[in-house]
Amino acid sequence: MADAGVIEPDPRLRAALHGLALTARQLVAGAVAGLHPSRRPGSAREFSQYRAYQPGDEPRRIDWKLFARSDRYFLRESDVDTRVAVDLVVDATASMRHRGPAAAAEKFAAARALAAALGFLAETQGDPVSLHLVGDGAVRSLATAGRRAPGDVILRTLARAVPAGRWPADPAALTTALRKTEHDGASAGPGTTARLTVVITDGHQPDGEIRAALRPLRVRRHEVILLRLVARDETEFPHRGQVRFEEWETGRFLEAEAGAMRRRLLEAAAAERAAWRREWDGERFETVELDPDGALEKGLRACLRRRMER
Amino acid sequence: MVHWANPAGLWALGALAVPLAIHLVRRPLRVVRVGHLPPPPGPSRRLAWWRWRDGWKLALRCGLLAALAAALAQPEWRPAEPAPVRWVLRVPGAVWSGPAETAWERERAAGASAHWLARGFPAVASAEPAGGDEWSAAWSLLRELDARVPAGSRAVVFGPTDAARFTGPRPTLARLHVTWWPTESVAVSPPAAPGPRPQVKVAVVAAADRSEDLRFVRAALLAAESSETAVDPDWVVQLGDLTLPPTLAARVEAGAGLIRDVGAAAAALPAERTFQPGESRLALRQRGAPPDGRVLLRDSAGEPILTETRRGAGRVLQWGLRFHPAWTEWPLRAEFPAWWEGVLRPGPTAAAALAASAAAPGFAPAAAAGKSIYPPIGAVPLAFGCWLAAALLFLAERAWSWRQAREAAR
Repeated sequence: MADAGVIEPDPRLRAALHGLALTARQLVAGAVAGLHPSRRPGSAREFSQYRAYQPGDEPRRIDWKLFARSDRYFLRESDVDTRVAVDLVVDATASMRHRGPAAAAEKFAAARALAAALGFLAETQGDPVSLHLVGDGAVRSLATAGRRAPGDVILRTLARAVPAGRWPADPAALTTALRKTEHDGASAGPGTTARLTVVITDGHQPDGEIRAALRPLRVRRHEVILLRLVARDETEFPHRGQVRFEEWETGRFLEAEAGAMRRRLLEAAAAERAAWRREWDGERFETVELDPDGALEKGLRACLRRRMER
Repeated sequence: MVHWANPAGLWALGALAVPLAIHLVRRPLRVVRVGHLPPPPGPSRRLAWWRWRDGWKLALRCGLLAALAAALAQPEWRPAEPAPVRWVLRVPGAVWSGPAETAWERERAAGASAHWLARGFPAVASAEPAGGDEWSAAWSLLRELDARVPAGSRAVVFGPTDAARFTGPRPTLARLHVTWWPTESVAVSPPAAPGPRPQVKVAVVAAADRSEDLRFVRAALLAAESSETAVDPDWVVQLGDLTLPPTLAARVEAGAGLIRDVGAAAAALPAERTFQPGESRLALRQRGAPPDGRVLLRDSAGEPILTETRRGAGRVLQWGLRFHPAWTEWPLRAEFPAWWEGVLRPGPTAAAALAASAAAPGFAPAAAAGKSIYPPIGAVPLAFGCWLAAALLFLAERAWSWRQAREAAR
């Protein structure tokens, strides 16, 4: 993966960049919600409101001048700016090259657009954002803290990424990369109060690599949004006749009469997705299934709206 | 029961191997690259190199080829084969001899059904078909009978060995086995002669005691429109025991015919017999000793009454009787001039009658060597139905393929 920030002379890449930026903005256009609430009540210089004193409030937060005028205890409140460090983890393994019979593009194109959109959104909110591309047996990280126009940097990196290989065999590789960007981001400025990890993947884990990589995040109580791309042909299985199915990532194949095994495969796929949701859909782990061939923005906006309503 | 008129057409069933191979051997599979196979995909699995597919389409194609093969084999529905029959066939006008009659009665006693060998095969109990030429298409009639009777049937034909009556190639019959029992001769009607009849020159030499015989013979010769002359005759009639003049003897040696009666030397033997020189059986009151030579006619006792011998290039017809009413009623009957007419007139029937001995062994049609080319009576051809079925199956197969192609294009 090339270094971020390098200006690419390739016109095709420039066109791809432009298209990706446009797609990313379209995805988040009209989204009234961001990735997280930007302010929370607290004490700061910027006045927000007065609130009546309640037992338990710190006495030092009482506005004594107001007490002198009104002879009642009030607390002076102000909104505190909150910044959430966003880690975008994009599955760039070979399985993301999946493309349904009627699909316009590979799954990775959808993942790229989603990551770009979220990066754009984070940039808008002023949140530090880092990108982690997982593929070819390694995690390649790009921290944008302290950079100008981090969204553009992320766009360029995403535009050049090509899905290949598998998840790293080391289950701690992702955690290490996240910790490193967390450490680098500590010097990026004050106000970063939380971390949000967004994992964009197809969920393909021949040996449980994704489960092993995400488990430490649960232990560390990271807030994780898991955007799982499920193609339409994976839920409808439109294939007919004798077909040789080959996995992009492992080369594993299955020769079968597609019509005869359709029901069995659909049941297995549905059971697998249900098991995934049971395991990864909880208080701090939210799993959202998105159709890469459908309206991505709808799913993305619904997800953001739910988060803001919490 | 279904019979195949052309069983070799069933070899076309070998073409079934083509659709069977097409539908059995696996085609290269369409490859679909996917992100992942839903669990449990199990170990990598290959389809066998063979696999039936499109069973209905395969059935249509096989049915189409089978219908074509069946159509080529020309099937026909035949009713259940009845039991073989046993017939005796009598040639109309055949002159019976003693042994033939005995054999005829023996066959009848054995249960054989008696018929005339004539169009429609009427029963012998009915009137004899008119005309001596009625049976002339003997082989054609036997072919027809072969097509009518059940397989394994047998027929014994009682008829003369007259080569002129058998035209065309010798038939080979499939269901009917024919045995030919020769009779002596046949009364034939003179062939129609549209033009003027050629003159037949006859020299008559009679002994003094045959004046009465000579009268009947001359009347018959007159009826046959022959001219009596001693110069280069075609025929020489010798009545009585006398020596032929040298010129006539030389003429016979050169190829003329000689007709002789019993001669004076032969003793008259009283006999209550019959013989049939023509259409009717006639009484034979006296007769001489059986003459030597090839027998052309026998009396009712089976003894030869007319023989043929060769003398140089000529031939001699030797009667064992005199042409006299004391010996036989023949000279008084119409059959007498008719016989002279048939013998003297050089025509195909007469010539063929003299060559009968050479042709006789081949008159019986050959035994069944193969299947008949003629369908039996009552057979229903099914080839058209096969062609029709093939056409319908072809249309169905095309419609099926078209629908599949349209679905694949979606």
